[in-house]
Amino acid sequence: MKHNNIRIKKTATLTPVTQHDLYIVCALDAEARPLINHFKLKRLPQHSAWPVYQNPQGVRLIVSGMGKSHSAAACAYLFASTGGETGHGILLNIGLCGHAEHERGHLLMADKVIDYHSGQSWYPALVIRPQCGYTHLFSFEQPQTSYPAAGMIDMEASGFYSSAIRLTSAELAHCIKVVSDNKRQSSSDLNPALASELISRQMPSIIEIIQQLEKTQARLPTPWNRQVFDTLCAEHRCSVSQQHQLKRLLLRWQALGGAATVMDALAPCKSMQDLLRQLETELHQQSLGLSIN
Amino acid sequence: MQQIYLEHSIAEHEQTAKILQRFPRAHITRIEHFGEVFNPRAQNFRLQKKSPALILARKQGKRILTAPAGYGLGGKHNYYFSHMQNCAYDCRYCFLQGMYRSAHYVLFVNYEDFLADIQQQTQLNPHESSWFFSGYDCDSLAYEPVSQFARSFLPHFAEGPAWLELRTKSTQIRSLLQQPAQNNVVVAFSLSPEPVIQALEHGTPALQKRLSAIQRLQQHGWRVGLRFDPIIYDADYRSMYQTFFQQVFQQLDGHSIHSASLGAFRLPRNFYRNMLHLYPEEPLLAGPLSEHQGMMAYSGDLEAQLLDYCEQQLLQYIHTEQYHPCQY
Ligand code: SF4
Repeated sequence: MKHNNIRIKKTATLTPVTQHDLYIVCALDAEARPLINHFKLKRLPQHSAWPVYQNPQGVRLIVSGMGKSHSAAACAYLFASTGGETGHGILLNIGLCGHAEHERGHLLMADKVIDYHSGQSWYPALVIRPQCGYTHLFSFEQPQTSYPAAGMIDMEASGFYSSAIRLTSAELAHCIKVVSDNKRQSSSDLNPALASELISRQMPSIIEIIQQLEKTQARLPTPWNRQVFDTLCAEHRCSVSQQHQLKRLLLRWQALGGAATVMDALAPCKSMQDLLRQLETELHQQSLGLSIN
Repeated sequence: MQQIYLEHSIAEHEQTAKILQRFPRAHITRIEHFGEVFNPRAQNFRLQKKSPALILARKQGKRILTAPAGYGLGGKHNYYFSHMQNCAYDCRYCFLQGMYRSAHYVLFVNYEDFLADIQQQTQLNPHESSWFFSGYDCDSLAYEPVSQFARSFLPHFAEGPAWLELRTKSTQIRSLLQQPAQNNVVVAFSLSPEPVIQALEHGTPALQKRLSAIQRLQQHGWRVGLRFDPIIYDADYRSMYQTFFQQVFQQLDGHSIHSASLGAFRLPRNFYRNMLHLYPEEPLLAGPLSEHQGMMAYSGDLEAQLLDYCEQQLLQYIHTEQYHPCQY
């Protein structure tokens, strides 16, 4: 049995693999363009259901098409197909919206996302303080020619949010919208170039929001070290419940400083059962040496 | 405070108006019921804790609850209540992290309903002592400048016969110093050795500051209790707790203390699991703990050793009648 490599790998737990862990859903290609350009995203050829873009730094984007159901499905697809870790990623719906009062080009975030038809609502957790401020966001089935609700209106957010909230926590799932039309200025003159232009002008603020969210995200615990786990599982036959137990004990090992001596002590173990028993004993001994000073 | 959620039902409440005045720049979101924001599953306590929102709500239903058996200071009838859910401090051992999904502060502003319930409960046993413990789901005083909880509640206990315990680590004692001391109110301070405070009680006042606050309260005539709970295991716990008790009773006269209690670190298993998920890197949670009857506590005879040692130290400074071990 070769446990030497296990010892070395405990330091690897603290090194993040990517700079970002970010998933963006846009309804239209024109809305996505400024983001694709900013993050230098490349289209992934293997995805045919929706256009999916990615960069090596961990930014992923999908163009969902219009409507709540498209947005919900594309959000889940993007997350699953690009290897998202539940509870960890930042998920954003970025695009245009209507608002009765606000000027065209105004940026807003949602403090409440409401499905106008079902009445169902969600509260993104507002842990950041963006310059742009927050307001309610109502999602409709059809394009609206009037402004029947007090807040932003769109056709995607409730679909996106209902899906996003299954994949991450409410602090990291948000809707960021730029006003494209209001009571004084209809959307009749809106074309792809203008849509891109409206988003482009707000890119500095959008990036600032993403940076604030990433600071929040950075407070999540470091993902645990799978390498040790994988090695031990490869070396010993183990059941699913033993895998759970092993994971729990390895997390403890990590919290206690990941002392190499624990792994050395496991070297003579002949079976997973032996190994778990020995690991438990070693960790107990090690925790008795815990010092808070 | 950057974000306030406001329940429609208390939007016009006097207490609400006072609180909103303190935060003119806060973004306000109207809600029907605090549970809409506080209860959803997909929330991360750890992420919210850095910048929690304030939820102003009405406490409906049962506001005063019977305390578990073994909880209390010798009174016949023991109750607890929470005018607030969550806390301005961030103690890594706090069970609230495991109990709630959200770290937002929920402040129930309908104090008048709590007070009416307390009065009603007291009248059920007019000739026996009834104790009301606050600070179960929060720190009783840490949020005082905003909540005005003590300022609002204390006058209602002035006539007796009910007793009130305010449980705190806070030095926000101005409202207590601005009114005459009351005989049937105990301000119970949770104290820990400074290394424990530094490592685990994030955002709380240093031990020395708590001791100074206690002295000022005592000089003003308030009864003070000391709560050494949770006692935390350390490889060198004997010398840590010996130094600690010396430090505490060098500054305080043990015999003038109303009561003292001791309890070791323990958590319901489910809360422990949630906390482990939030803070897998926390050595406290990786410590020598094991499960016993649904509770996670120090394993084997470690808990007994810890408690015996601390009890021995404590009883050098106070009388046994002042001592109430935690039995719950
Ligand atoms: S002071 Fe009490 S309620 Fe507040 S975080 Fe610490 S243990 Fe929890």
